[in-house]
Amino acid sequence: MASTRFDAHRRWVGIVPGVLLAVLLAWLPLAESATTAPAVGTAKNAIGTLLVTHSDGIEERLRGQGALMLYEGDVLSTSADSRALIELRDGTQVGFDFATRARLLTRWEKDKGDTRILRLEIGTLWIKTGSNARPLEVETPVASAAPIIESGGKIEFMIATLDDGNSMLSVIDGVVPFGTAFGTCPIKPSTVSYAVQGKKCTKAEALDTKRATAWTAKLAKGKEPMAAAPLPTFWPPPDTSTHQVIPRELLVDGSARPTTLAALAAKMEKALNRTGYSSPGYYAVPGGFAMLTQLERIHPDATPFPPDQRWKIKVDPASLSSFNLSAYLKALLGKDAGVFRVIAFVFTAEPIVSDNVKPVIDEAKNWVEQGGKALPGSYAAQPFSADMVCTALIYEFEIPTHGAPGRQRKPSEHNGQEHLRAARILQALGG
Amino acid sequence: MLKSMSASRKTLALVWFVGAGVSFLALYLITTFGESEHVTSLWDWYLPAVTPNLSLIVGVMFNDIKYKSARSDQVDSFYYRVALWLSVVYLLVLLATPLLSPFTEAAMDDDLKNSRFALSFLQALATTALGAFYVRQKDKS
Repeated sequence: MASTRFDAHRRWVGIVPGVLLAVLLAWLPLAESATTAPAVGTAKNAIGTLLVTHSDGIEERLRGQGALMLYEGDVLSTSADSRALIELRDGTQVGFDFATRARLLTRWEKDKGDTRILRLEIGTLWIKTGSNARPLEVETPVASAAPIIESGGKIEFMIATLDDGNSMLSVIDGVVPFGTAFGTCPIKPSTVSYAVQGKKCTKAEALDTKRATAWTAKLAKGKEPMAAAPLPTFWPPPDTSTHQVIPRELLVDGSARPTTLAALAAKMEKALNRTGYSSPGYYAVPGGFAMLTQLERIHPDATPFPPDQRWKIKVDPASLSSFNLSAYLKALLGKDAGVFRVIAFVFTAEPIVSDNVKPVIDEAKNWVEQGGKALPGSYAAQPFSADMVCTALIYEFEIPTHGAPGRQRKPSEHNGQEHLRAARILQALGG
Repeated sequence: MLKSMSASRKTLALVWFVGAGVSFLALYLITTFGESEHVTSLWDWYLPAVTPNLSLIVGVMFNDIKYKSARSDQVDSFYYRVALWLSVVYLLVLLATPLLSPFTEAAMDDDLKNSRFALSFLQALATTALGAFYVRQKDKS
């Protein structure tokens, strides 16, 4: 009997540390979950701003042309003065008119596979399917439009929510079934139908398709590679942390010949290269251009980190393999903040007034990649006129502790000149 | 094998007060010297994790003082050991959660949220073991 109790006791002594270890091992991998969902489309162009709110709450904005990836569950919205164009993975183009908000969803059915769903909450959507279009549905609060996709056949239509809560479907090309809870009517090309709450859709009426889709022309034009403004815009610039006007004498060589924007860009690129920056991203601004540096990590005194850590945009957790008590305590007490910076050199004669939109670090990471790789020929020959000014806009971000989301630091603890000196850019320009 | 009920309860109370006290001290130091952002989430996480069990132990202790009910009672040492080890494991995991957070990629707030599943499971076991321990004695008496 005593021996049995002794065995039971030994079993417990063996089991309990095992349970502890298993619980710890099960808990540690929960520490971070990564989103690996494939993109369902790309936001290509925005006249004004397209706000994309991902399902995890992170917001991204597209201004001008770009390639902002869109994911399942994203909510896309335009303000009262903005329009935007997105392209779904199958090539279907979707235009967002003023003050429009829609969510991107997908429904899977055994016999049909995936159906892309655009849940329109408010505003107007213009949809044009590509030749390899996949099943698509647009839902409004009272109706749904599910175009009949045939191989090679193109479908173009617009769907809108109206102020009285009803919906309107205007078909430009193809046949689009328009359904409410009370039945479905196939809407033919060049006709418009209304879905009224509690009723079947109305009889189709004739539609002036040119007039109805006039607003989409500008969006589609912006997509063309040879459009008038080949650079994405950086205007109005997001809210800055600080700024500094760069003295003109540091930028022009003093000869009688006027300095061209190409020469200016070359001089700035050379100065940036000498201070360790890679090629900048070029953006268009009214009457000039902007050069944006890559997001870099900086010390509290605004000097950049050494090259092996300078471009790493995260705050590392404490290391178990090379344990350092000071680093551990800093991470434990939330005092391991990382500070990051982007410098935008804006060359323009226009006064710079920021749009009061706080920049987001996840967007700032992509500014260089989303910008032009070089100054286009249309800018190159233009002179750096006497009224043009180069202003360095400093965007400073902080990740307060490892794993925490980043945020803008405003105001910066340093003025613009201190930033430019710490980055050794003024010195590289001869200042 | 039987064990004195009074001694068992004292040991369990000691384990819980020391374990919860060490965690309390660690959290107090973190919230005093650390960044203020974690203060609410840390205490929101910690208090429900220890308060029910400490309340149970304190309640029974005062009940014992008042009615002198458990002085001479005996309890099966198996139940005592189960309650003791579950308490020790739970309190160690509780202490380890914020102290291991600096080694994870996630922020401390997320670590605390993630730990709730494991801790709730362990807390349920520890509380049940403690409860059954006391209920059994009450039935006997």
